[in-house]
Amino acid sequence: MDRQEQVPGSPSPGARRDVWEPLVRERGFIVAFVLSAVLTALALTYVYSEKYESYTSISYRVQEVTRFKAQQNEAVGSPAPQAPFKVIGQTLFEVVRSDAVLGDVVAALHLDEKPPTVYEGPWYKVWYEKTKDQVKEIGRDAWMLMKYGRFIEGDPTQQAIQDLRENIKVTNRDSYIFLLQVRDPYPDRAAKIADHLGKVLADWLLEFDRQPGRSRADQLGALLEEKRAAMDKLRKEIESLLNDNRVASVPLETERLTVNLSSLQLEASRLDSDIARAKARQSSVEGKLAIKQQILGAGAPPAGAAAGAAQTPPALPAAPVEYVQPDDFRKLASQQVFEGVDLTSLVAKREALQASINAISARLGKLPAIQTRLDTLKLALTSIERDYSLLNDSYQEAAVRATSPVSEVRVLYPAVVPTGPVAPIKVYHVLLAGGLGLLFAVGLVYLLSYLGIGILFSPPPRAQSGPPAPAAAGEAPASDGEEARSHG
Amino acid sequence: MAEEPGSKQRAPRRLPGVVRLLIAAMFGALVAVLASYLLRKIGF
Repeated sequence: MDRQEQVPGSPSPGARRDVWEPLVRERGFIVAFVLSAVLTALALTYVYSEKYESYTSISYRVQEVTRFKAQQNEAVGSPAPQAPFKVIGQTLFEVVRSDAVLGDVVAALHLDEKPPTVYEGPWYKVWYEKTKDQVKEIGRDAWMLMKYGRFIEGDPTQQAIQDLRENIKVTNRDSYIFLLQVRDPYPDRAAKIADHLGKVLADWLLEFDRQPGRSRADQLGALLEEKRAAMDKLRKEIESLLNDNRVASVPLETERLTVNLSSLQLEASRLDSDIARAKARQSSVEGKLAIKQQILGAGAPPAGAAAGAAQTPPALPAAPVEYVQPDDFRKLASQQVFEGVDLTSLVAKREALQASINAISARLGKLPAIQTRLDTLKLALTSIERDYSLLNDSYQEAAVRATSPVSEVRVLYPAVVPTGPVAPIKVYHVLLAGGLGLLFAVGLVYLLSYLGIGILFSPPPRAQSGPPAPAAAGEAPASDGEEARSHG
Repeated sequence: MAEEPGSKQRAPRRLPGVVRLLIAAMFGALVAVLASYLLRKIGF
């Protein structure tokens, strides 16, 4: 009747029972499996060292950079993209994990020195602690032996750095706040490590930020020094050129000398005319004096000249002696002397003037060469000054950056000493081990039942009409009973 | 020479119950070690 009422295709109640039957039959195995997993996991949590976690918040601050000129950062020929938080966080994480930072922390907090082991408490706790430490030591040695085939004495500092590296984490939720988490077997030491790590990170990043500015400032400083030396040399050369030629300004000097030369030349022309006049005057006086002398000679000829005078007729008309006064003669003689002196003075003045004209002309002749050299030097100086100005702007930028007083990273508050361990969480271990154990055990039961492997489990009951097979020697009574029930 | 009657239907020999329990415990411990390793890896 039941078979007729059953919906075609749906499993019969007997088939449903068959599905659970292997689990029911092998419940002892499953229970043992899960219990063992749970207890082992619980025992392992007591073997593991407890870890305490301390953390500190780090604020990442966008830094202001002073630039005197427009600049652009490029990467592979294109503008460099803005760094997202993920990149910043990963960079901070890598910096924190670097040997430079961790080595500093390890050295400062003496993490490479093993703390003295003190066993306190009841005897079983002391025994447990000692046994645990010995097992760990033996396990470490065994692992080293299996790994390298011999015992290698490791560097405690490197080992401490490696341990610290595995217990550091930086997390960020797309904000300017980064969480620096540190795990350590000792709660107070975890807080100290977190604090010191934050400080070292801030200092390191500040130095990291300053270093390019310092290098650039050094490089630009050397270039500026070269330019400064070249400028000094050119300035000295210009100064010595002007000093040697006794010129303050070549154009002004040229103008001044040209004016002087023209005035001297004008003066020379006047002197020439004065000299000509003086010469004419002197000639006139000399002529007059000669006439007077001839007249005087004609009026009272000397005894020696009386005989000659009869033979050579006089060149001048005869004048009466009484007309030639002695004062006139003295005046003429005196005038002749004065005219001579005047002429000599004028000639000397003219010669001096000519010497000045020659000197000024020579000096004027040199000025174009001086001006040319001066222009060349000034052009070179201008060029170097422009280079110096450009370099100086960059140098000032680099100097500002090299002396930046604020780090991009700032520790917001000191780390708090944790009160409870974060690992191992016993319930997680027990639950996961139990769950996994249950899954493995059930899977194993079904698999072996399906494959008909009877070494562990009873074979699935067979629908047979014949008498049941005699029980093999050594079978467990419970299983026999179950088998008998399934056959029955 | 004649085949023992019922020998084809006889169930395969099973291990003793204690041994089966030990095997279950060993597998369970193995799973526990695996679970602990995974949890330690993710920080618990």
